[in-house]
Amino acid sequence: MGDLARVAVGIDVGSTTSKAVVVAGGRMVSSFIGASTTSPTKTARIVFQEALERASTNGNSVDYIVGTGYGRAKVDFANENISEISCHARGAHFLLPSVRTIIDIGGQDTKAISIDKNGIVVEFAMNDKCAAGTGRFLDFMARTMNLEIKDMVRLDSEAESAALISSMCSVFAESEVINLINEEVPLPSIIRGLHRSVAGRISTLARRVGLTKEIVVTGGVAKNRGVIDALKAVLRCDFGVLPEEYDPQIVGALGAAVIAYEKRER
Amino acid sequence: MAILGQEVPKEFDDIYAGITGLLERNKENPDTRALNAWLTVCKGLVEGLLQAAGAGAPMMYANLGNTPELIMALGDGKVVPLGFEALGGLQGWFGNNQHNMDVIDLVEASGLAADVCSADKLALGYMLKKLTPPPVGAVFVNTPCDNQMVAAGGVKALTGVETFIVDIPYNTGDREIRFVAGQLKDQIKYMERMTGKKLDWDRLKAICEESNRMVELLLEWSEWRKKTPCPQMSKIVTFGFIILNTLSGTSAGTWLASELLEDAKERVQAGKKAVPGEEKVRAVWFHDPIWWNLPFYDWMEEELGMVVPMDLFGYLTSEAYIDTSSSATILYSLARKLSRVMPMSRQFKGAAEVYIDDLISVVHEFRADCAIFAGHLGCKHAWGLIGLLKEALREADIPLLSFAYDMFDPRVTSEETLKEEFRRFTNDIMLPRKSR
Repeated sequence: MGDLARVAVGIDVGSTTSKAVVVAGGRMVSSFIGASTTSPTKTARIVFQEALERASTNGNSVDYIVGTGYGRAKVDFANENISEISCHARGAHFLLPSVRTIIDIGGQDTKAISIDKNGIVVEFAMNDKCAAGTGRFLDFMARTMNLEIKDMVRLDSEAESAALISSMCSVFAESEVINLINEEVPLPSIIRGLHRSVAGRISTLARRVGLTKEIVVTGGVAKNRGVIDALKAVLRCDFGVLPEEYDPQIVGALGAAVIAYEKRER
Repeated sequence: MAILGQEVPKEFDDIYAGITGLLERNKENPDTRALNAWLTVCKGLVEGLLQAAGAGAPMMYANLGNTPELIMALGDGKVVPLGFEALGGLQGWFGNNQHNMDVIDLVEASGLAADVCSADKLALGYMLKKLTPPPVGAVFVNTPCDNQMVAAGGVKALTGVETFIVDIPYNTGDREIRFVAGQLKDQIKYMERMTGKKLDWDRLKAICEESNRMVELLLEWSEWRKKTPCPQMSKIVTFGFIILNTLSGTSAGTWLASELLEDAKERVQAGKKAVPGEEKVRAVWFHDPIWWNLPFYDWMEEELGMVVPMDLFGYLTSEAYIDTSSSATILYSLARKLSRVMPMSRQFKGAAEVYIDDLISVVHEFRADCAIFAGHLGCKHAWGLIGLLKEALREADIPLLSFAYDMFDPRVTSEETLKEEFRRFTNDIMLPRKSR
């Protein structure tokens, strides 16, 4: 890792997972993703320490910390907190300057953000009230079918068709899935249908901010190939590709770290 | 509590106590001249209503898209035009919101659909509770929305009183305005039949001339609110609609308009502004206000540095003037006022372009940075515009904050959620945009 003189840190406290990113010399040097606990403050400290350890440094080298995410107000050791909208925009733009639309699919919320060429937010839309179209919906369905999320991704690739899941609501969709299983509809087909249902919900949100290319998808659900393929089909477009070495789940924390790094320089 | 020696129900108590309490607290405050004027007028309205009801004066209901000139001109001028939605409004602004929430629950439990506008739920609910003095007649216009027609049906069901409804067409060219003017003649006949009083055309002319004086002052006031920074508080502009709907043609309305104007002038000359700190964002709020929480506007100014120089309810055009040359021109002008001037009625019927073009014009005229679409749940017709509106504003490079809430019911979207929406919009979009 080398000798890190001074660093900046971004901490994204989400409802399901929390992330921390360490930036030094204008580049990311480490990141950490951990499960959120019931205490956002405790969670923030855990991911902060873990990220610093991975960067082979400690708190004495930290010049500036920005907290973000739903629990940002509880990151009591941060220098400031900034909304996840700005941080996601910043993070995505840092990784891919040509990006203009960011679709962030998190554990409990989904965001669509439109930015200009300088990474400034132009418009955004959020769904933070309903599980449909979020990771939570997929977790719920996975439990209903006694599967892990990774199984759902694998099974989607085996599907020859997609079952129609007409309910947007997680509660009613569960009933539909149980009925489909009882009718012996192939599981891959049901799963592909679920992925399409999620994609449909997300696409409605995304269209509210306009879809200007490049479009990137971030957040934990961005790692679900089935959802991404379904989203591309629904939106009828391809997505920009973030550099492979960056986990799409850390984009918000990265944006917070980049902002922290710039503030440190001032 | 007694008001003017009369024992009144708690709902009236709380409204009156709210108004008089605010007046008392602010009477020496030089920064609240405009608000004090409005409070003084509201106090007078409540007292006038109670006096008239106590004296058994005949009341003619008029709905929110209406104006009172014709009613005031009946006979000896003793027929009282009563804004059908007034009680709910006064309660939300100055009284105790719990009463409004209770009334909404009552009227829904009595069978009114939950998706009716809360302004009309409250109007019918207060009638159900027998708090609104009963009418001798009710004149409605069918704009801005279908909720008005539900309300008209409700009045008839609750009182047995025949209602008169003016049909305002979607288009508002000369032919359509003449069509409405023709209906106003029928409205006069209806009112004369229901009250036993003949319309006094000389009195009507005088009332319309008073209305014109008020309009002239309001138009001039608008010009002063274009100044940067905005000299006066945001929330005062939202009452522009009530001034037209309730006070047109009254000396109280003219006085209020002159106070608003003089206050604006004085404040500009003294270098005073609406926001306590730096004016960071100027927003045109082109939809329903948050009438269950007027201090929200104060919070906006204090925490965000955001001011609303003009909104949908305060927006007025010179078509509000009434040509008093003859009875025909008076009726034509009143018809035009109902069709092309009354806030919401003007913008929320017919082609989407009226709303969109008005909004973009107001943003430019008032040097605003952005627009706000406060999506009141009862305004389903307005929500129908949102896609077209967003496209048009993207093209015009005008950022838009849009959200769902209820104009009178705080349970739909909480204050904290609304504040978070405003914070995000200001901090994530407006401030970075202004600093680029």
